Formats: sequence, C-alpha cells, structure tokens
Amino acid sequence: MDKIAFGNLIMENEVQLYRIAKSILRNDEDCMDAAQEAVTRAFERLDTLRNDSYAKTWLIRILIHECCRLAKEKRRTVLMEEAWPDDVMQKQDYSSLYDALSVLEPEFRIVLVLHYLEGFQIQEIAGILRVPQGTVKSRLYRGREKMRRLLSEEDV
Amino acid sequence: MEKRMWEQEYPKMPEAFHKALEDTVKENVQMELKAQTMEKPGRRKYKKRFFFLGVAVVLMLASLTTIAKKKFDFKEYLRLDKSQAIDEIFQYNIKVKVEEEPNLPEWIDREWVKTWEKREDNAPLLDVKEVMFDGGQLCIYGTPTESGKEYDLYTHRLVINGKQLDDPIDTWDDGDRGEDYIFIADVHNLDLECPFEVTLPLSVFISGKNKRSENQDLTFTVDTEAAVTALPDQQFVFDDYTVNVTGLKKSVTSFWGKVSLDWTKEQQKASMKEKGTSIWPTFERKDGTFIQSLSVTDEESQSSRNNQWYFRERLPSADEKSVMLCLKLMTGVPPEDTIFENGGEPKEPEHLGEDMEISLEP
Repeated sequence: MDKIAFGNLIMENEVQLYRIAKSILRNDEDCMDAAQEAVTRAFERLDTLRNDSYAKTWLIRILIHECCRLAKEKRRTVLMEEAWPDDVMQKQDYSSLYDALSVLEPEFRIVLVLHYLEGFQIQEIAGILRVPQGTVKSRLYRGREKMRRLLSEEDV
Repeated sequence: MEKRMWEQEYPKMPEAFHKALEDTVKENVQMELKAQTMEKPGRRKYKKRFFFLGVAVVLMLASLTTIAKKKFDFKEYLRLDKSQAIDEIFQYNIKVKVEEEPNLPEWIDREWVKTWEKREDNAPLLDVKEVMFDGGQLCIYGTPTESGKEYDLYTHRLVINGKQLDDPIDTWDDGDRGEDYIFIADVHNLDLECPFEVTLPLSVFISGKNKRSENQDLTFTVDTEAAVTALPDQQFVFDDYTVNVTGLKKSVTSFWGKVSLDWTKEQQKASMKEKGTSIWPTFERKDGTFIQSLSVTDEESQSSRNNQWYFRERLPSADEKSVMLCLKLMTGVPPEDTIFENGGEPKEPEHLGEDMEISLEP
C-alpha cells in the first residue's frame, strides 16, 4: 500500500480512530497525541505491512498500543509528581453511557467499543487484540453485564 | 446494547482531532511525495498520479452516492444469496398489532414512566417490512411509519409466544441511510417452530432530544419455511486426543453445536509449551476459505470451559456438504514491545494436529 492510499484510509476512518482512542484515554488532547503518534509510527513502518487488507486492523492495533503506552506514562508521571489532578481527566460533561464505560477496566471498554460502536466481529477483535475469541466473548459478556448494572436506572 | 444508543451517546470527534490527524497525514504524505520527486526527476509522473487519484476520488464519491440512493436490500445486508431456499425463510409486509398496554420490565421506576410523553394516537411507529427466520436466527427489518419518523426506536428485549427472553436482541440502524431499523436475535437454542408470535417491546425516544415517549409493543406472527436439521454426532480419534462434535444442527443459513476436546492434562501441557497459549476451534471451507463465526448466547459463551466450545457459524451455501474443523493454537497477548513482530500483521495461529472434515449431511 502506498502512503497516499494509506493516508486516505486514515482519513476515512478518523471517527473510528477517535472513538477507539477515547475508549482508553478520557482526555481529548491525549487522544490526539496518541493518534498522531500512531499515525506517524504506522507511516514509518508501512513497508512492513505485507497484506493491504490488514491495513485498518493493523493501524487500530498500533493506535491501541499507543493509547495504552500513553495511559501508562500518564499514570507514572502523576505518581512521580505525587499529585492526582482530578484523575488526570478532563472535567467535562459526558453522557451516562460514556461515564459508565469509563468506570470499567480498559480491557472491557475497548472490547465493548470495538463491538458495539464500531461493529467489529468477535473474530476480528480477537485478531486486533491478539486474544482468543473466547476471551473476547467473555469480556463482552462481563462488560455488558457491568454496563447494564451501571445504566439500569436510566435505560430500558 | 444498541448501536444507535452508542452512536448518540458516545463523545463526538472534536474538530481539533480531525485537524491534528489531517496535519499528521499531510505531513507524512508530503514527505513521501518530496522523496519521490527527488528520487525520480520530472514532475509529470506525480501530476499523472494526482490526476488518477483525483479521478479515483470522483469515481468513489459517485459510487457512494449511487449506493446511498439504492434501495435497501435486507438479504444483501444479511449477506445471504438469492436462492429459493433463502426466499422461503423470508416473510414480507407483516401485519402488526399494537398492544394496548406496553409491557414494562419490573425494575423500571413507575414514577419515571409517568413522565414519559403520551402520544395522541397509538398508531404503529414501525412498519415491519421483512422478517427472516431460518430456525436459528430471527432478523426483522422495518422502517419508521409517518408518526414513527419523529422518534428513535430501540429494543433489547423480545417476547416469543408470551415468554420474555432476556436480552437476546440487538437493534441496529443503517448508518448510511438512517431510516432503516434492523433487529437481530439469536434464537438457535429455543427450538422454535412456525408459526409463532413475536412481540417487539420498543423503547421510544423523541428524535434529537434526550427525552422519552411511552413505549410501544408491536406483535406479529412469524411464519416461514424454516427448517432445522439435526445432524449425527461426529468423533475424531487421534493419538493424543479425541475431538467430539455434538448437538450439531443446521439451518439454511447457519450451523451450530459443541466441540469437545478430550486429552489428559499431561498431554495438554506437552502440546502447549508456550505460556498463555490457548486453543480455539475455527471452521473453514474445504478450499480453505474463511467461514464467518456468529455469536453464541451469553450462557454458552460462559460455559465454554474445560476444552468445550459452543459454536455457531454461517453456512457458506445452503447445499454445503461438509466443512473443515481446525483447532488453532492461539498465543496470549504478547508483551507490548513485541507488537510489531511479524511485520505488524496478526501472527497466523498454528493448527493443532490434523483438520477434521465435519459432515453436514443428515
């Protein structure tokens, strides 16, 4: 895949990239940093991609990796400063769905977002996250149960 | 969980994110173009390339417009072919009855329900256009009626023959058109026989506002030529292990059942030396073509333990005679710094032993 085609693919999927980043990082600026870093790394390594049909899931995996790395870095920085400025999170009004999602552990969040919001199938998620399908299914099940409990007062 | 709810309530992409991404992409593409210009003198080639890129973009936009204007094709959406066997599991222009009193879950706060907007008439909000029932899956396609256009509809409940099923259904709307509702329920373990009565308890939201209107329950009869065939159990004995395929059934669109792997703990340990390795069964056509996995129920997913897996797979064609069962060894999540191993592509899992041919004939 050449860089122009890859650039088009990125821009066609920008909303998806934002929403996936937002499932791991709550702060929009962090999402931007992670996405920019992921895109730069992907461009640098584009020649290692042997099959164009993997380009999108490959990019998503790089993005998830960058988001996790950034989240880890943020936690470390905050601990070193011995401060916890409002959970390193933006003070912003979000929907109850997103607030409930934020309470879950990242492994549940990312699977729920990939499946319910982005429409990836279990097999595809297993490929992106490199976990067995059974693990994806159980994370979906447990994540959905947790979400349902958290949202039970507000949704039928 | 409804896709529409996620779409509405999930944070929207800020313009700054778009700008940042666009700048990064432009920067990288321009670097590439600059490098190409330096490598290959003469700009004509690049102009030509941009010309073709421009043509491609115009053609792509034109085809997207055509797709957007095309009539919604439910069979195509469900990725089904247009054979007679498939036609027989479809039902069209379904007559619906609006229930006088919507059936609400017990845990819903009745005081809150009183605050929901009352509608003047109780005309159906959804026109049920097509129903697909093949014995394993129930798929409903509808469009909003004139009065329904003012609302967004969802459900994650389903009542069949008066019995409420817990969360068997997902509501999807077609993002490109925004005027189609699709409800898909996995009912493969209910042994349903036609005709049966279905009630869709619709939660009604006023479009564009975060406000509720009273629920509406729509009841209709499903009557298609659905047929589920039970297939014989199949066993494959190898030196170190035995594989059993039991409870195998098929409809014209899918097949499902359980795979069990029997081996001793020692044998398992010897075969899976690498830490974090697990096994998962997959199905392929005899020519190695991928077969799409469909989700199993939550209960089945939870009970997939101790080398037992429930599966539900798309039947590649209604007259498929057999499929190949492959047990694949999947390595657990690698350390983060090895994520780019193998050129960044997903590592192809190893097959455990020989693949097995599963007969789909009674």
